[in-house]
Amino acid sequence: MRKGIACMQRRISMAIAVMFIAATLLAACSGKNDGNESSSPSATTEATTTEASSSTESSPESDALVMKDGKYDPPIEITTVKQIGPELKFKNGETLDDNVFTRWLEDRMGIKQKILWTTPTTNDAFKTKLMLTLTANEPMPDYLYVPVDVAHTLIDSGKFQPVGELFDKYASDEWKAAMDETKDVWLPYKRDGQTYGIPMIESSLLHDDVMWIRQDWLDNLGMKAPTTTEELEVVMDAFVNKDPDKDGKKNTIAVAAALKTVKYNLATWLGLNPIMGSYGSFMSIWHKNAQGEIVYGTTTPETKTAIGKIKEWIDKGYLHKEVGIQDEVKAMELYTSGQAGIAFSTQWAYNWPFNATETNVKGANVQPYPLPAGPDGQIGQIGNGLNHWLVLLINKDMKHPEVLFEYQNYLYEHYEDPPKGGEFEFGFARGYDYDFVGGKRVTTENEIPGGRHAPQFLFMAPVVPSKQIKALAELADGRAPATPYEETLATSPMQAKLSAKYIYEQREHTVNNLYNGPQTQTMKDKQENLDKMEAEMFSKIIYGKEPLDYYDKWVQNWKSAGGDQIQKEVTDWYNAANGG
Amino acid sequence: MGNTLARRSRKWNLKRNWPLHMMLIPAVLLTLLFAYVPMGGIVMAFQDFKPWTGIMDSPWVGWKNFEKLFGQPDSIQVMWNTLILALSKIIAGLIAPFLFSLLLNEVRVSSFKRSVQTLVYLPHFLSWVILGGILLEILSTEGGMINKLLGNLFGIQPIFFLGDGDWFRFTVVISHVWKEFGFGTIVFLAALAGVSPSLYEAAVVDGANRWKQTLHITIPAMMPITIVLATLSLGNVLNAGFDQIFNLYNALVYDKGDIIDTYVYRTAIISGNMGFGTAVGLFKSAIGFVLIVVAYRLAYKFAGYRIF
Amino acid sequence: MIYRTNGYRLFTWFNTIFLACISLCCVLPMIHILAISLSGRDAATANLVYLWPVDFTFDSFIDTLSNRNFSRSLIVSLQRTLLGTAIFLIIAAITAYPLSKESYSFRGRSLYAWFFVFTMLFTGGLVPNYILIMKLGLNNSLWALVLPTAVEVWSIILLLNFFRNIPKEMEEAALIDGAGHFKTMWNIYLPLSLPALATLALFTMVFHWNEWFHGMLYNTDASNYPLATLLQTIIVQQDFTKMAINPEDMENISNKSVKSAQIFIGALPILLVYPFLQRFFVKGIVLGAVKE
Repeated sequence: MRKGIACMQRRISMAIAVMFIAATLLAACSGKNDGNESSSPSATTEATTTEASSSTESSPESDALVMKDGKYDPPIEITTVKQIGPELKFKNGETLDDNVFTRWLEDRMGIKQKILWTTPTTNDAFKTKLMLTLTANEPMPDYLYVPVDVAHTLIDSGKFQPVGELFDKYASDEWKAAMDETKDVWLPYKRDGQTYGIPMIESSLLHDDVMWIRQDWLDNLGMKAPTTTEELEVVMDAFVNKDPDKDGKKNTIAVAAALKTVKYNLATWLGLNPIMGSYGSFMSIWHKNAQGEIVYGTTTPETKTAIGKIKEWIDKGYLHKEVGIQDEVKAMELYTSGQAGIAFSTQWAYNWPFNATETNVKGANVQPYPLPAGPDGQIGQIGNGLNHWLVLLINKDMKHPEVLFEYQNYLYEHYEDPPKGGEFEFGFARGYDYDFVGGKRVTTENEIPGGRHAPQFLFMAPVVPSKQIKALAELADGRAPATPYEETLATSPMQAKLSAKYIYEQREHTVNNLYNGPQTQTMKDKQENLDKMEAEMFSKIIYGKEPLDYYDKWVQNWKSAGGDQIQKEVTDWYNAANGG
Repeated sequence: MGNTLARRSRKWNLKRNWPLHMMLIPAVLLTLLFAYVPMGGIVMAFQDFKPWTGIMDSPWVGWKNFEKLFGQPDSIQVMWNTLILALSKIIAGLIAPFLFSLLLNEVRVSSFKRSVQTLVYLPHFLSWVILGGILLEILSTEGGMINKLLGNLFGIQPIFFLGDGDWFRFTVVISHVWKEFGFGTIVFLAALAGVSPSLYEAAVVDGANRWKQTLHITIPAMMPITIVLATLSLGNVLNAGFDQIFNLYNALVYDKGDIIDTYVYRTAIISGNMGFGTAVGLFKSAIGFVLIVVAYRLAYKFAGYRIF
Repeated sequence: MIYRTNGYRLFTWFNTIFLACISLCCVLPMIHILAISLSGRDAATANLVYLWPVDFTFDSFIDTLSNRNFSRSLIVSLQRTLLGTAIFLIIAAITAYPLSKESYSFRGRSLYAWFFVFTMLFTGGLVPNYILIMKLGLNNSLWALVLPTAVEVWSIILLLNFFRNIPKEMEEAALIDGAGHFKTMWNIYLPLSLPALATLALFTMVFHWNEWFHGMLYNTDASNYPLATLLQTIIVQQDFTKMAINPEDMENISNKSVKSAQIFIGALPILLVYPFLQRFFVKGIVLGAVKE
């Protein structure tokens, strides 16, 4: 027996030896190419800045990038990588490499797009493939646009060039003005005074909530939409106990919400954060309290009150008894199947999924209303922070980054707010993202013959953040559309316009996360545990497994488990970022 | 041990056995190339690995990644949860198909047998994302099918299967067995298909009834493969099934349902800390390997059976 | 053989009912999912579909099948499954056969066995595997999907245990007749192990048919994706925990009908192959038949 074990040990040690030989082999392979390349970010920064400045100074003569009639001649090829999801569909036998957009790009701009590789959108496939590409030292594409968290990793890799000066030099005034609307967006991508990513901004207020109520239920009960949380409680009670759907059965709940999600559990697109906001609580984000200090929302006394309220509502049956284990899909099911009467969600939620309620339930009528005010008259909700979730990065080896700017400038000028009679007056291309049916312009999936096929732009289409919700709000008030852009918006259903109006009116009450930096050291070590503690505290209290006063104990635990340290780091970061 | 004898027998062995060595060559080469060469990546467990610096240049951090795994306040609880869930799954995952194939073996009507076999294999194809939604529905305390059934038949108060720690574990194990037992059944049926009918005929002549036949012929025929499966599954003693737990768990059942893999997902995968992920994988493999070695030895010592 | 005792008859009844109930438990969710895949989007979104489609439509299947890469991907998947299963079976047979010998007659077998078992547990992980495939230049080739998984140790161990159950007398008889190892394996071991081979072939087919991750990783060109990978591009899984949601993508996210159709397309080939393989492990093999 003992001999056997000794023998075993020998085998294992042999195996380990083999393993290490393999390791060196492999490392030799993977490291072969980067021997003479310095990989520290600061060193590469210097290298690229000098290179960039010298090339831009001398480019008119030496680098043959000739613009003829507003297009590059000969055409320039740029490379990228892409995620493929169901929204990526083609008609007329087109492909990712040859479609209405790529043809336009080559004809109009003289740019050829080459896609190095693709992944599905599922299971972090894109992120995984990117990391592996980095590890294997394969070439990065000329440019890519990636989610914020991936952007931070890629910037740290030192393979991308600073974009601040490029943006100042090449971006058009329109683009710059759009970016200036939310100046803070650049902050997260600053490293040692240089900026490494261009945030792909989207419309602001896009993820702010309104209250979506089943108007037919209110009408059945002869009630008015609530404007305060007090009135809301009366309506909720009636929605649960007074048979609002008139089917003679007690089978309804008042509010559909998703409280399962671990982090940001109340700030999803189908959560309860506007309710907590009306009690002055902004869970899971960093914001300023009344004294002007930066605090973690979950630790404020207001949050204790708000959690108490949620528990009360569960006990009373206003929320589904299992709301704590329901995610957005489940909450959506409750609302669209007609079991729930109220939901707090975004402006676009009517187009999908809430309009499904009207298809599924006969006589259903879903209407938006402003958020109700809390006991102190407060209204509040958590906003979508920095207005973007994708970031454009430019490879430090890309010779002519100005191409990307020229392209986007063109779209800002001609596509974002197209002039009457312009190239893109009605949309990108007829038969793709718009069409005329019987002389009437149509823009939706169901109306366009063959379905809607959005153009697959190089990166995110140009956006002026303040425009969309504001224009929709004004259209809701009855103003006639003045531009082709507004005419497109005007085709949306009334609910979508009305909700935009309420969101616009209540925009002052939106609170955003003030921390936008990369993970601090303490966050790296402790954040996971803190998040877990927070989610457990919340769930246990709302399910009565712990009394409400457990909250105070949790706050103490949170502080001592690293929360205090993180608070200090966040405050320092904020002061540095805003003080200079 | 006579030295000369051993040498002579080895010589004889080589001469007679060279085709056996030849047969193993393709598998050995493939394994060397695709399993042992990449095993070098295990060194990442001891590195602060960054994709852009690669395996060669990432800084060494010693046991830091392992310390991270054990240094969390609730590390012990997470390990414990993992072990309990994984072991329950292994045991239940062996017993269920074992019994099921015994029952199926008694079915005489071939078409029925085949249909049952096909149908029980179906859940294997469902993903936990989809099943999660279905389970939420049928296990609901508010009119879910299962609670209704329990209430009507036994007068039991609705059980919060997914929100109560112990019931959560129970649900995880049962739903796992339900999903995968059809898979295991096939292996056992393959074992049973190898039993010669002449054995049963002889038993009938001896006057053994069906129960005796099962006891003395069928079950012994299944034993070797059962021991093999049990031993091999010990390698998974710290794999409690990420997809399933991830889709079913929630903050209410963290204390009983959080496992190593979900913990690693929350810390390492999301932030791209590959060194940590590798360290955890290495730890799990090491434990699994030790257990397999022990089981292998025990099976040989007590049953005289070499599993592999 | 007819068993006429009352007890056994009673047992047979209970057994039949029990097995039928279990089968029902297994097939109902599948019917539910089939119903969803044939339902309209709004009804599916609202979870109003139980076992019968609501607003019956083939849209989800048409959406999936009309993908321009579908037929190409189908072929890639078929090639991969066939090639993968064939290679796997050959390797498994020629590896399990020597390993099924006893140590005293085949010296070194235990060393070989541990050499393989070690790899069941210890793997280098994704990163080195990826680098290896790239360095070997196997990317964009079917071999990258087939070779690294060709030596499936779990199956080999199972198979060697099946091989061991084969009566030694038969092998000895063959050896005395002058048959070599290859011949013995081919003429005696493999025919007698058909149930095991069929089982393992089935598992391998299922694996290759449904595996999508490597198909994505090692193919730069989306038109060469295996079907399982292509299907991944037809559904979206978005992380709801972030505020990062693109409203235009939203309606695709929980398109349950398409997801459900995908499950069916994944399971269908196996359902088709199953009856052919099944006869190997439902019916016992009669040893005498091979003996002659």
